[in-house]
Amino acid sequence: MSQSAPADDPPSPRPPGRDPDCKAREPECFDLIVVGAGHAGCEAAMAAARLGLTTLLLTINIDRIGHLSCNPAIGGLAKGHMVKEIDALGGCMGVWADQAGIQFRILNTRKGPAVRATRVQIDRDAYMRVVQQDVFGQDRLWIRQEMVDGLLDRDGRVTGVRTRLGEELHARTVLLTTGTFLRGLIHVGLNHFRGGRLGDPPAACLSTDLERIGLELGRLKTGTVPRLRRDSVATQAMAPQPGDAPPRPFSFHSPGVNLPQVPCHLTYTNATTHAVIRSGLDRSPLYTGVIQGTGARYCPSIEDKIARFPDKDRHQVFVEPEGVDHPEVYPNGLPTSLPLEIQRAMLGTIPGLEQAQIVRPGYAIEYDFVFPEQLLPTLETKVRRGLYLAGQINGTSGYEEAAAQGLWAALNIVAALHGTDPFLPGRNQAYMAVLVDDLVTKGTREPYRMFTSRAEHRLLLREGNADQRLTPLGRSLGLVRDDHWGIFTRKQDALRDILEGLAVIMVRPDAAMRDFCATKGTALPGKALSLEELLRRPELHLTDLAGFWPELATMSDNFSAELTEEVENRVKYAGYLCRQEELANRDQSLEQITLPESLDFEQVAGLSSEVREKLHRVRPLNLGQAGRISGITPAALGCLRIHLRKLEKPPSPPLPNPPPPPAS
Amino acid sequence: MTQEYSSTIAAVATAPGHGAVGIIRVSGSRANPVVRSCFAPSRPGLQEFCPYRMHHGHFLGPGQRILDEVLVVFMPGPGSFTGEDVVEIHCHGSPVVLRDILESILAQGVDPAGPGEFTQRAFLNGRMDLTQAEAVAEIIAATSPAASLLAQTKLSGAMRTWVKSLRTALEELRAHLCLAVDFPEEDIECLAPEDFLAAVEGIQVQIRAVQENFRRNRIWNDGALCVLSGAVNAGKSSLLNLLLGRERAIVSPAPGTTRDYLEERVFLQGLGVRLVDTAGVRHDADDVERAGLSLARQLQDEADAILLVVDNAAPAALAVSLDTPSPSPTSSPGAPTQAEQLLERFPVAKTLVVANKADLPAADPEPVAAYSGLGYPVIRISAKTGHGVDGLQRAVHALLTRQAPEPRPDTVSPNLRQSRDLERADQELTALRADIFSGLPYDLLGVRLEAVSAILAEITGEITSTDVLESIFSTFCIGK
Repeated sequence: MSQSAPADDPPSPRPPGRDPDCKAREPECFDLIVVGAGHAGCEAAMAAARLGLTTLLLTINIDRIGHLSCNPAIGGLAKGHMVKEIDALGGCMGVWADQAGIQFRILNTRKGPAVRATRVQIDRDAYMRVVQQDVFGQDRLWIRQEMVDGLLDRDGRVTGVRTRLGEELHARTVLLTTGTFLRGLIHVGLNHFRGGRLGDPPAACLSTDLERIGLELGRLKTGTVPRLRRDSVATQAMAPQPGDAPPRPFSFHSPGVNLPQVPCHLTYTNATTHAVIRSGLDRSPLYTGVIQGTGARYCPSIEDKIARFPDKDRHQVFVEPEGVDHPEVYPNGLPTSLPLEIQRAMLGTIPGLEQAQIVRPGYAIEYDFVFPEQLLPTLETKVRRGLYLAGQINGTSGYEEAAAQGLWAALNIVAALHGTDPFLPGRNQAYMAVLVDDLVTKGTREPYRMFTSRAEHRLLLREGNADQRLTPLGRSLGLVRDDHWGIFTRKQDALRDILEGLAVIMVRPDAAMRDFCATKGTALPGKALSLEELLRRPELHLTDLAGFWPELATMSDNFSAELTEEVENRVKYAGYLCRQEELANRDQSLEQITLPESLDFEQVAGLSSEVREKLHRVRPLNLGQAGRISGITPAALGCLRIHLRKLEKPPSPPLPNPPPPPAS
Repeated sequence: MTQEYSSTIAAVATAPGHGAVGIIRVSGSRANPVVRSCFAPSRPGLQEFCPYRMHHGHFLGPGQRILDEVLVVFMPGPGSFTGEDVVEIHCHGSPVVLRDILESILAQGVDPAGPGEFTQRAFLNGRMDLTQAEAVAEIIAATSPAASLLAQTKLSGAMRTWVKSLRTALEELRAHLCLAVDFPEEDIECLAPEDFLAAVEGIQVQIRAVQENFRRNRIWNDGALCVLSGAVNAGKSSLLNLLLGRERAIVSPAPGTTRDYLEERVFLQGLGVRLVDTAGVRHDADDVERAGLSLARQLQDEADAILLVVDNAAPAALAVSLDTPSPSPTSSPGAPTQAEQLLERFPVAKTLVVANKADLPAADPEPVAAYSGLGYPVIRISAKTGHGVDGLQRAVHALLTRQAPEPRPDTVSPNLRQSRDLERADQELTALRADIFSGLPYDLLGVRLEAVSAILAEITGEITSTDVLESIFSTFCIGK
C-alpha cells in the first residue's frame, strides 16, 4: 500500500453550510462516496449532503435511481414504523412515498395501538421521478454512473474507490449500499445468468476486494413475481381492495396526497394451480439445489409455499397496480423462479389471470452479503475505518430496512467527520435501532426483515409517536427543517393541552351526563370523575367527549385523527405503557455499563471458551449488547460484571501529586 | 508457549473426616497434565490416561515421595460433569493423605475450588440449567430418601423439561398473536378468544399442580412438623422421650415441667419428622410461660400433625379450656362453644388424640369419649410402659402421607425460589385472562405473554430469547 492517497488525514470538523459553487467544482476528495443509489444509498446521500458533506453518489444505472425492484409498495407492519421514524428524523422516504402514493391504508386498526401500520401502494415511475428530482436538486451531492471494482485503503482506513474505468475517486469515507448486485446471479427455471437485477449488470469484482480487506461474505437469495400486462388481466372477476378514505399520508409534515387513488384486486390460486406448480418442481432451481443462497422464510416463493404447506388448498394473490397509468401489474403472492412456461401455465389457472400476458418473468436472485457482526453499531466495518455498509449488503431485505440503515450510516458518518457523538438511539427508542442492534449483535443467516415481535419494547415504538421519539433528535442533528419543526412543536402543544384538559375537567353524573351516557351506550358513573377516567372506557372516544364538553373542545384547535389516536393511546393504555417504560428503563441500566475497547475477554474468569469466542467476534460496546448475543447467558454476564468491577479498582498505586509549578 | 486462560481448580470432594476412601477432584484445562505428572502407574508403559478407566498407581509428592496408593480416573471435557477436563484421584480416606495430595496439586499453580465452584462451572459451560445446579445442592442436603429422590429427579432435568414445555405452549400462543399482528393480509385463522382463554387456563392448571407438589413435598424435603399438645402433665414429655427412644425432656410428676418447647428429629418409616413438645397450661402461668404458650399456638397452626395428649385416667373437660391461659370468665351468647373452639384449634384432619396412661384404669366417664364424639381418631397408649407406641407411629405416618403421598420418580417439585417464580407467573396469567376477557388488543396481550415467559426463563436461568418467529415459520404458511 504505497499509493499516495490524499485522504488519510484525521477528519476535521466542518460546519454545515451552503456552497453555491459546489456543482461547478467536483472536489479532489469527497467527504463521502455512496456506492449504490437504491433506497439505502439515496437516503444516505441526501442526509449527508444536507448536513454539509460533499457527497458523491455512484450507480450502475442512473435511470434506476430510487427503483422499487420488487413490489410497488412501501410500509406495512414494522416497516411502516421505520418509514415514520426516518420521516421523524428529517429523512426522505416518507415524503417520497406520499408524493408517489396511489393507495394508502392503515393496517391492524383493531389489533392494538402499537401495531397499527401504514402501507402505501406506489406509482413506480412517479417514485423514481421524485427521488431523482430531489437527489439531482441537492447541493453538495454529485451523481455519476460508474461501477465500483474495488476500494482504496491505507493504514487500516478506506480512502476511496476504484471504478471499472480505472479511475480512482478519493473520499474520507465510503458507504456501500450495493443491494443485490454483488456477484448477482439470476435464475429462471434451470437457466441462470449474471445480473444485479433483471436488466442490469452485477457488480462482479467488488466482492473479491471486500474479501481482500478481510470481510467474510455469505450468499442470500430473494425472488420476485412475473409482471403482467395490465390490459390482459380481468380485474372485474376479482374482489377490489380500495384504500382508506381519506388517505392518511406517511409524513408528519406531508404536503398531502396528490396522485389519484387506485384499488388493488384479490384473487386466489387453486388445486389446479398447485398441480401445475408441482409438475414444474423438477425444473425449479430451488428444489434441484441449483440455488445455494438462503432465502427468507417469511417471503417464500409460491412453489415453496405449496411444497411446505400441502394442506392449504388456496393462496391469496393481490394484483397490485404498478402506477396510475402503468401498463403492468404486480401479482403479489406469486414470487417464483419456475421455468417461464410453468409460470405461464400457472397464471392460466387463476381466476382473472387466465389470459394474463407475462411482460417480465418472475425470477430468483442470489447475491453476496457481508455477515453483519463484522460491523460496529455505527455500521462502520471493524476491518477498515471510514468504510460503512447499509442495506441488503448487511443481510436485510426490504426497502424500508435499507433506507433506515442508509440514514443511520449517514448520520454516523457525519458525526465521525464532525467529531460529534455517534448516532446510536436505543432499542426502546426506534425500530431502526432494533434493526441495527440485531444485525451487529446477532448477525443473520437469512434475509432479515423487521417484525414488531423483534422489538421487546414495542408498545413504546408506535407509528403515532415516532415524531415524539425522534424529531427533537433530528432537529438537533440539523436534518429537521423549520417548517417540519413548527408542525411538530404545534402538535406537541396540542397534545399537552388536550391531555391536561382531560385530567382537570371533572364531570358529575347529572342529567346532562345521563343523556350523554345513554347516547353513547355506556354506564352512568356513580360519582364525579375526570374526563381522563371517562375516556379509559373502551367504548368512548376523544371526539365523543370533545363534542359534548365544549371546555375540552376549546383546549385545542387540533383534533386531527393522528392526534386523537395518540391521546387515546396515552390515556387508555397508560398502565401498560408505564409498565413497559419501567422494563425499558431497567434494561437500559445494562446499556449504561460500557465494556472498554481494551477489554480482553480471555482475562474474564468463569467464561466458557464458546462464550469467549462469541464475545470476541461481536465485541459488544456494553453489557446490554453483550446479553443479546445468542448463547450469552445471564451467568456469563455476571462474570463480565465482576471482571469490570475488578478493573474499576486500579491495581497500580494512586497517581502522584501533580508536579509543583516550575520555579522560574 | 500458549497461555492458560481459564484456571484449573481442585478440592477434596468427599466429606471431611476419616473414611475408607477419599476423593480429590480436579477440573480445568490443566487437570490432566498436572495429575499425570504426579502419578506413577503400577502398569509400566502407561503414557496417557485412558478416558473413563481407573488407573492404579502411586501419587507422588515433592521429591518423588509416595503419598498414597491411588486410583485415578480421567473424564475429558466437554462430556464431563463440569464440561471441562476432570480428573479424580481416589485415595485412602485420611485427612492427612487428602491434604498432602491436594497441596501438591495446588503447588503446581492449580487454584483451590470455592464452594460450589464445580457445579458453577457445569452451569456456566451449559452442562446443566439453574434448576439442575440447585438440585446438586439439594441432593447433598437431602435428609431423607424421598428428598434425595426429588432432587435426583430435578437433576435429571425434569424441572427444566417441564418449564420448557410451558414456555413452548406460551410461545405457540404468542406466535398466533404475532402472526395476526405482523401478517395482517394473510388469510389465516386467528385464535378465537375462547380457545386463547382455554389455553391460558391449561397452563395455569399445570402450574398449580406443580405448586401443590411444592406444598406436599415440603414434608419430604424439610421434614414434617408434628406438635405434641395437651393439658399440663398429660404426659407429652414422656411420649416425646418414648418416640425418641431416649430421655430428652425432663419428666417429673409435678405439672408444668416443660415451660417453653423442645424440638427433636425422628424418622418414621423413612419420613423425617420434627417432633415438638410444647408447654402445657396452668391458670397461674407466669410471663415466660405465657410467651411459650403463644409460641405453642403458632406451632399448632403450622403443624402438619398434632398429637393431642389426654390423660385418660383423670376426669377432665375438653383440652381447649385448659390450653387457654386466661379463659374468659363470662361467655357471651353466640360465642363459640368449647367444642367449636377445639375443632378450630385442632382440625380433625391433622389431629390424633392420644389417650395416655392406658396402664391405669380409665376415668369414668372416659375423657377421650368426648373427643371421639367430635370425630377425632383416638390412639390408646401408655407412655410409661410403651404399650401402643407402634400403633401411634403407624398412625402418624399414615396421617402425614395421606396429605402428602410419597414422591414418585417423575414428580416435578419446585424449591422455594422456583415456587415463588411460579406464583408470579400464575398471577400474571390470571391478569392475562382478565385482559383477554375484556377484549384488550393483541399487542398488549402479547406483552403479558412475554412477561410470563420471562418469569419462567428465570427459573431455568435461560436468557429470554424470542424464538417465536421460528415457531411462526414452522407452523404457518405465510408469504405476502
